[in-house]
Amino acid sequence: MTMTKPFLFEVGVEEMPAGYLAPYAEQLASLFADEMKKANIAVKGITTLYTPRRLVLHCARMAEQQPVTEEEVKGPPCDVAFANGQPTRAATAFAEKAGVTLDVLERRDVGGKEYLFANVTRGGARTIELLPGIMAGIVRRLKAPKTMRWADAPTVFARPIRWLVAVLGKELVPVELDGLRAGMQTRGHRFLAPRPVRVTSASLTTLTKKLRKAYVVLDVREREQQILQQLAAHGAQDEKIDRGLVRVCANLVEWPSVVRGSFDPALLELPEAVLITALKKHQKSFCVYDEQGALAAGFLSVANNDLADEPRIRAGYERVITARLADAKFFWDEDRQTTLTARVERLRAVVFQEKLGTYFDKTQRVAALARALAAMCGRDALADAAARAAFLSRADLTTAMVYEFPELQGVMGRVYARVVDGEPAEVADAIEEMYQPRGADDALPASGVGALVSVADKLDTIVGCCAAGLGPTGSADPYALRRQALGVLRILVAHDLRLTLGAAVGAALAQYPAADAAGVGAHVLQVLRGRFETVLKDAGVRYDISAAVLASPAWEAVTQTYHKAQALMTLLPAEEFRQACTVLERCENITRAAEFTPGAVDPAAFVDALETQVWQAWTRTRERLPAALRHDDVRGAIGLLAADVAAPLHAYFEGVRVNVEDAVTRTNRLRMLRAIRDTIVAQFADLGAVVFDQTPGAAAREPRK
Amino acid sequence: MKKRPTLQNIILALQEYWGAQGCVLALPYDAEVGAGTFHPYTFFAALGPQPWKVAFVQPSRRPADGRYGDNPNRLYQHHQFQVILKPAPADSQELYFASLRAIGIDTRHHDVRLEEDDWESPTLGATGLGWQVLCDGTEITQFTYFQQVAGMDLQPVCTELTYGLERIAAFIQGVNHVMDIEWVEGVTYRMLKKRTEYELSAYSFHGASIERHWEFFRKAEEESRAALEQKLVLPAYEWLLKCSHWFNMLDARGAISVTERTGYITKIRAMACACARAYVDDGRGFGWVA
Repeated sequence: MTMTKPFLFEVGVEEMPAGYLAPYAEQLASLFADEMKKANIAVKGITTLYTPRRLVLHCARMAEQQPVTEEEVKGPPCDVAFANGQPTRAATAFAEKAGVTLDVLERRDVGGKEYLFANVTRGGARTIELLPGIMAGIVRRLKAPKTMRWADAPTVFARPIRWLVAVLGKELVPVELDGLRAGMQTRGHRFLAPRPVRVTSASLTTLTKKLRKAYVVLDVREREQQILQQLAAHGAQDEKIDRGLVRVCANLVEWPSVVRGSFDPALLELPEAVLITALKKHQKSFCVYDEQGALAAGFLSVANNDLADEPRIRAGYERVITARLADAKFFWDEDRQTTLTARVERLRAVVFQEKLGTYFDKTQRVAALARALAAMCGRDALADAAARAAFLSRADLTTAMVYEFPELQGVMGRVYARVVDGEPAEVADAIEEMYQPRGADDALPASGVGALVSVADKLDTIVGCCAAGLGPTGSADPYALRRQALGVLRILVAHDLRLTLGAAVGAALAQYPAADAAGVGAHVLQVLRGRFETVLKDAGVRYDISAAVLASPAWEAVTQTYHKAQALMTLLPAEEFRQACTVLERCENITRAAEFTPGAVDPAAFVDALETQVWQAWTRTRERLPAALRHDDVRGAIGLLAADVAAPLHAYFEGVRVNVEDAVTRTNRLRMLRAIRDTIVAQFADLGAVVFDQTPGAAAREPRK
Repeated sequence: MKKRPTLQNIILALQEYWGAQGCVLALPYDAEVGAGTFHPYTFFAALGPQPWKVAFVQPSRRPADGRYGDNPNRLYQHHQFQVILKPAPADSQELYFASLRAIGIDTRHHDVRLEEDDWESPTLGATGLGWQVLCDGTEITQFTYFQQVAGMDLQPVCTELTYGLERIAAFIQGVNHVMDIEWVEGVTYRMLKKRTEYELSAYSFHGASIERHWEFFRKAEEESRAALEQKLVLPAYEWLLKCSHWFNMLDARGAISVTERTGYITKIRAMACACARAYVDDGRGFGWVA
C-alpha cells in the first residue's frame, strides 16, 4: 500500500463570466479523474469549488507513487532479430522501445519458433513528477463557449489566467503553463484583502479558512445561502425570491453583501413589468414587495463588499436605479400622450422585412388573416377582437419604452392598449399573447383571441418569408420559421382550433398576390408537416402511428390528427386495431405489385359471392366512416373496419384468387381492393404502416433514411 | 485632490496617471467618430507587432443617442478617455484599478465589479473579450482585451480601456443629470454643451437632408476607394470615417431599414478591412520606418 497525500490545485483568473463557472468546475473534476485513471494514480475524494476569480480542485487522497507492474513483452522472431549472429535494426528498436539493453533480452520458444522477449517494468513514477504535465494539459483542455488569448502564448481560456497554486501534501508541485509557474500563494478579495495569502499545505479546510479571512467565500452554495439569508433579513419573502438571480449574483461576487435601497414611491406608478425588467435584468437587483404582495419602492442588490461604508454604496445604487426608473418614467409619460391607434400609422415607416414591407403592411395582413381563421374554426364571435388586437399589435414598437427595453415588446402594447386606448381586456391581452410561445418551453396564449392572433401573425411571417425566398432550407433557418411553425401547431391543438392547414395557408397566401401560390403553399406545408412530426413525437406518439396519420391527406386537419394519433396509441393493444390494420396491409400488398388500370369498381362484374359480400360491407362502412371521424370517434372507426370489413375480406382472401387470367375480373378485383385502401388512407390513416411485430409499448424502430 | 473633483480634474488625473505609466498622451482625432476605437492610434496601432501605449480623450458622436440635452444620461456627443496598452500587460487589471483610485474612487469602500461583456464593433471588424466595470451599479468603463481588428487576429493582444467620462464625473460628483456636472469650478456641463446637444439632436432627427446625406455618403465612399487605390491609407480611412458618420446620421434620421443596415455595415467594414490590410502590408507603421 503506497502512502497517500492530499492535493490542492487552484487556477486564478480574471473575473470569469458567471455562467461559465459551474461547467468549468465539472470539466475540471471529470478530466482530472480520467487523467488519474490513465496515469494509474489512485485518488479519492475529488472536490471542485469556484468563485469568479478562481477554480479550485481538491483531492483528499492521492497515491504518492504509481504502482510498479512487471510485464513480459514479445518482440520480433529471432531469425529477423539477428543476421549472421549480429542484432539487426529490429532487435535494437525493440530493446529501445522496451527501455532495456540488448543483453537482457531473452529468447523463448512460441509454437516452434524462437522470439525475443523483454521484461518491462512500468510505473513507479512519483506522482509529484507526473502532476505538472497532467495538470497543465487539463487546464489547456477546459472548454468554454467563448475563449480568448491574452499573451503571446498558445493557451486560450475564458479570461486570462493569472496565478496557479499546486500543492501535494506540503510540497509545491511545479506546474507550469506558458511560463506561468505555480506557487504556494493565492489571492484574497481584490479590494478587501489585497495582500497575497500563503498556502502551506493541500488542506482544503485550511484554504477555506484562510480565504474567508481574506473576504472570499469559496463555495458557491455557501454564497447562495448567505445571499438568501441576507435577503430574508431585509424582509424579502421567500416565495418572491428569484432563485435564478440568486445564482447569478452568487457567481459574480466573492464576498456577498446585500444592500437595501429605496427609490421615490412616485416611480411605482410605472407598470410592474417595467419595474421588474429595469431592476432584475438591467441592475441584477431584487424587487421588494409589501405585505399585500405589491411592489414596494425599494430594491435589494448584492454587492461584492463588506459594506464597511454601507451608506456610500447604497447611495450609489439608489442613484443609478432612480436614474434608470426616472428614464422609464419619462418614457411612460411621453408614450401615453399618443394612442396606439394613432401610432399604427407610424408603422408605415418601420420596416418589417425589406421584401415584406413595413409593420403597417404586416398588421393589415394579420388582421385580415385572423378574421379568416376565426371563420374557419367557427370562432366568429372572436373575429372582431382578434382583428382589432392584430391591428394594434405592433404599435408599441414606436414607443420610447420599447425602444429602451426591447424585451417589453407586447407587454407595453397590452398596457398602453388598456390605459391609453381603453381597449377591452380581451384585445389588450391578445397583444401580449401574440408573441407566445417564444420558445419550445414557453407558455401558449391563454385566451382564444390571443390564440387566433398568434397563429395569424406566425402564419403570415412563415408564408411571407417563404414567398420571398427566405424560408428554411436544410439547417439554415435565418428567420426561425420552424420555431414559429411549431408555435402555430401547438396553439391549434391546445385551443382545439379546427381548420385544415391547406386552407389556412391559402388564406395567408391570399395576402401575397404576387407569390407563386402553389409552390409557396407546398413549401409552407412541408415546413409545418416537419414540425408536426415533432409535436406528435413530443406527445409520445410512436413513429409508425405518426407515419400512418401523416400519410393521409387528412393530416392537415392537425387538431383532429393529433387526437387521432393519441387514440390510435391507446388502441395499440386492441385486437380489433390489429385486424383493421391487416385489412389495409393486405389490400396494399396485393395491389402494389400488380399492374392494372385504375378505375371505378363495377359491381356487375363480380364473379364470386365473396366479392359481393366484401363490396356490400365496404359500401356500408364507407358511408358511416366520415361521421365517426368527424366526432373524433377513432375507436368507432376502427371498430367499423374491424367488425364489418375485416371478416369478409379475410374470407375473400382465403376463397378468391385475385390475380386470375381473365383481365376484366382481375382488374375489377384489384380496383376494389385499391378503392378500399385509398379511401381509408385518404379519410383516416395509412393503417398498413402500423408495425405489430413488437411487444406492446416497445419503441418502434427508427425509420430507415 | 479636492473633495469633489471636476470633470477637468478627472481628465487631468487620468492623463497624469497614464502618462506616468509611459503612455503617449495623444490628442483627440479631428474627425467625427463614434468611439475612441476609430482613432487611428487605436484602429491602426493595434495591428502589427510594434509595442504601443497611448491615452487620449475622444469626443464621440452618436447621432441616434441625442436627446436635446434633456435626458439625464444620454448625449449626442459624449467623451471617452481611451487607453491602449500593447501588448496587454499581465497587470492590466491592477493598473486600471489604480487609475480609479487616482481619480478619487475608493475601491475599498465601493462595490467595484467586473461583469462579462463581449465587445464588438461590427463596422471595424473588431472584437474583444472583457467586462463592463460597474461601480455601485453604474457602468464606468469598458475593459477589453482586443482579439481582432479589421477581422485580423491581433498579435499581440492589447488592452483597451474606455472610461465614460460623463458617467464617472456624475458618479463622483453625485449629480443626477449630466448637465449638472461641474466641468470646472463655476462652469457646468450645461453651460458648455446644452445648445450643442439641442441643435445637433434637432439636426439629426429632423433637420438633416436625407438626400444630401446619401450623396455625401456615396461621394465619400468613392473618394475613399480612390485614395486607397493610390495607396494613401490614412486619407482613405478618413473618408471611411465620414461614411460611418453619415451612415449614423441617416440611421438616426430613420432613413435606413433594419435589413439595409446590415448591408451598409458590411460595406463600411469591408472598406475598413481594406485600409487595415494595406497598412499592415507596407509594415511601416506611423513612423515611416522603411
